Amino acid sequence: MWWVIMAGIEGNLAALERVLRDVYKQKLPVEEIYILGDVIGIGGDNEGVVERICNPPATELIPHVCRGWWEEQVLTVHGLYGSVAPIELIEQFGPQASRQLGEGVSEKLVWWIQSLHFGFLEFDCLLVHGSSVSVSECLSPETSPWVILDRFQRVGARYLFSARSHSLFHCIIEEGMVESQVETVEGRRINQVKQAETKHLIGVGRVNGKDGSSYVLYNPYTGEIRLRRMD
Amino acid sequence: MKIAVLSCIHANLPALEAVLRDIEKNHCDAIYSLGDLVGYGPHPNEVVNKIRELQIPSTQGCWDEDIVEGLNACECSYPSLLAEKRGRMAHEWTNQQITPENREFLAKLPLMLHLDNLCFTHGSPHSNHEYILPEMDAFCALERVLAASADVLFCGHTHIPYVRTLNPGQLSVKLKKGNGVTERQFSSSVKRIINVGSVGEPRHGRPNATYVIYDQDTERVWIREVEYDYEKTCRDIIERGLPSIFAWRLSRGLEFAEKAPDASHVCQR
Amino acid sequence: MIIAVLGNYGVGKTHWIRREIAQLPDKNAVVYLSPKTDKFPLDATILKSEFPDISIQQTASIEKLKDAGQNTTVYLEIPPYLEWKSVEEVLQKLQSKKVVLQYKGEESPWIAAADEVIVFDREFNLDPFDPLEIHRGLLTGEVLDYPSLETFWQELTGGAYGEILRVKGIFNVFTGECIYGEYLYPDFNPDFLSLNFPLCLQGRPTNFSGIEIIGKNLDKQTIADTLSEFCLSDEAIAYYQQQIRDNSQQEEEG
Repeated sequence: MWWVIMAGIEGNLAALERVLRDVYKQKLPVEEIYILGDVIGIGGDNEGVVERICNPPATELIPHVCRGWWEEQVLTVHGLYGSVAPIELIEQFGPQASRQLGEGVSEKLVWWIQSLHFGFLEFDCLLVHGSSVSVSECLSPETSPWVILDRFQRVGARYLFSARSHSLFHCIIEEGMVESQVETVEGRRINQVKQAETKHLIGVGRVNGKDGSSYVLYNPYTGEIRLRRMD
Repeated sequence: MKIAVLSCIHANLPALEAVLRDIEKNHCDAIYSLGDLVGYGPHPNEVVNKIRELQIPSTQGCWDEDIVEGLNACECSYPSLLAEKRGRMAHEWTNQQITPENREFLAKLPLMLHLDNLCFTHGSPHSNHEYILPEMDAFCALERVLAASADVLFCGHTHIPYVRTLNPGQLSVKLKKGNGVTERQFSSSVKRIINVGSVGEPRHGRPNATYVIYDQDTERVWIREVEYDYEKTCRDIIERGLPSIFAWRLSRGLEFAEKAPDASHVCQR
Repeated sequence: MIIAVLGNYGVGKTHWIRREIAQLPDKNAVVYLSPKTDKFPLDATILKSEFPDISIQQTASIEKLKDAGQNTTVYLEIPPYLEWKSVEEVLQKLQSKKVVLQYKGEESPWIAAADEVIVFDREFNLDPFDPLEIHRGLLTGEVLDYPSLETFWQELTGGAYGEILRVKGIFNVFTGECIYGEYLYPDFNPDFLSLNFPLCLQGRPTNFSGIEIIGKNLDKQTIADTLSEFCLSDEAIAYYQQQIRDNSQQEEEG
């Protein structure tokens, strides 16, 4: 049984349809579909994509969706999350993006976004848009492996599926060890040797990618991971 | 250079004065404070005045922040309804007492201070509400020191002092991307986390104040435990109209209030 | 048979009765009565939770009790603060067996009347707690925040609100459970026992709930004020109850 894990549709209905066709054409037994946020974006058919996700044909699965960076921007613009101003959004896309998300997103869509979870913890897998710390944190192969390991340890996961980097990769951290000593006020000394189990950080790519779509197939029963790129 | 580092004075002047005398006796060259100058205790202005007068560099603690920004910690900061009500009572009292100049001073305190390879912060580099407990997963602990861009991270907030040395760690990373597979090795150098305990609100089971002396040249650490006239503070708590239970808890080394049960929880403000 | 159980604070009268009842084959043939506790039936509630079939009497005439004693076992738990002269008269009329529980080395005032003496293997000096005060807080209908109760219990038994000899309490908590806690100087006992009552998942609980504190220099006002700080509001109770119902529904479905 396989899980299909994708993210970054950004309102691109055609790209989503193409990925879904690719999924079902492989004739793999699919158990769950996870969409790790950025379902919506700026300028695309957000309503159409959400409609397609929530009401698929009877033969398809209803995907589990968690909050992405774009969804968090919508909530921020509508005053439903975090700081007063959508600073990150304005810095990266300018003030007109803030207006677009304010006026161009229907109340119904805002309500749907509000209902999304931060992420999913299934078996030993954490599925999130960014990291266990935040939606906007980007974990990539360039991130310090000590930081990556911390994000695993916080939730006790062995597999972390993340979308924020937009890239498709599989990073395996193995043979980690840290030895430490604690001295207390009573003068006691406690030694600790911490061995890290092998951890898998998976960048799930992006449906609305610049050079085509990418997504991930994962078999939670065997641990097999397939990075799928469609040019 | 010998540095004294203190934290969590919590408006307890007799405790601060006793610690300052101990620092003088031990010939320290500098003093750093990790915040929570106010809250729960009966001497908020006296303590802030003392820190200002002695020009002790201080970071901002969660209580200092709340006095400036208003109490907006989420409910999770409190382990129980009783703790929440007591916390609010202490907050309101302090809020009424603090002078505008001292509030302004608290508002300008930085979240982090650096000195060479040392970093000073109240809770953790991520949040002044995070507890770095001695049993924290070693990888997480290491990440906190790295996040502080330091070799030695001084923190407080838990009110129980300890010194944790993280020996060099190793990691091996394999990356699959596109068609290629690459392998890399990473190692970290020795890092330390020094929790300096609490001057005015100890939690180690005795009412004595705790703080830390660090020698930059030899890298030696001394956890200091200083007796002081806690009964004076207890009397002032009652005389100045704070709940008498604060005095009882202080005299038992139980801290004025309980600690949140989920230590790793970071308040999402 | 009528068995009167006498003894000082904390000597284990209710515990002794519990053990006795446990050994009786027919719990339906057991009657329990503790005089002058009808408004605060703490021990009776504990026994009822463990032995639902026993009969709890609030008050009864001497004739009725004698009748009951014909074909059932009647346990009379006598609170130590009752005036002994009048108690003795009643016990004589009832022709009850008098079991006296006492601490090792204690000069029990009831010993002369005892048919059976049971010595608790522990020395105990009540003198430091003289003059003894009793504070009772009725909490029926209240639901408490459990983490706050733990803190309060630690403070109370640690002496924050007076010098404490004995505490017993039955509390309804936000999980819908009814729990029992007890303390006898100087043994701190942080554990609460869940009583065998159905979970309360709708409205306020109706079972007896309250705390009995025995000690010296009790700061009764602060005790009452502190307890009221963590009694939950109707909204909070409804919220927790909804969560518990949702969780149990999910478990059933899962």
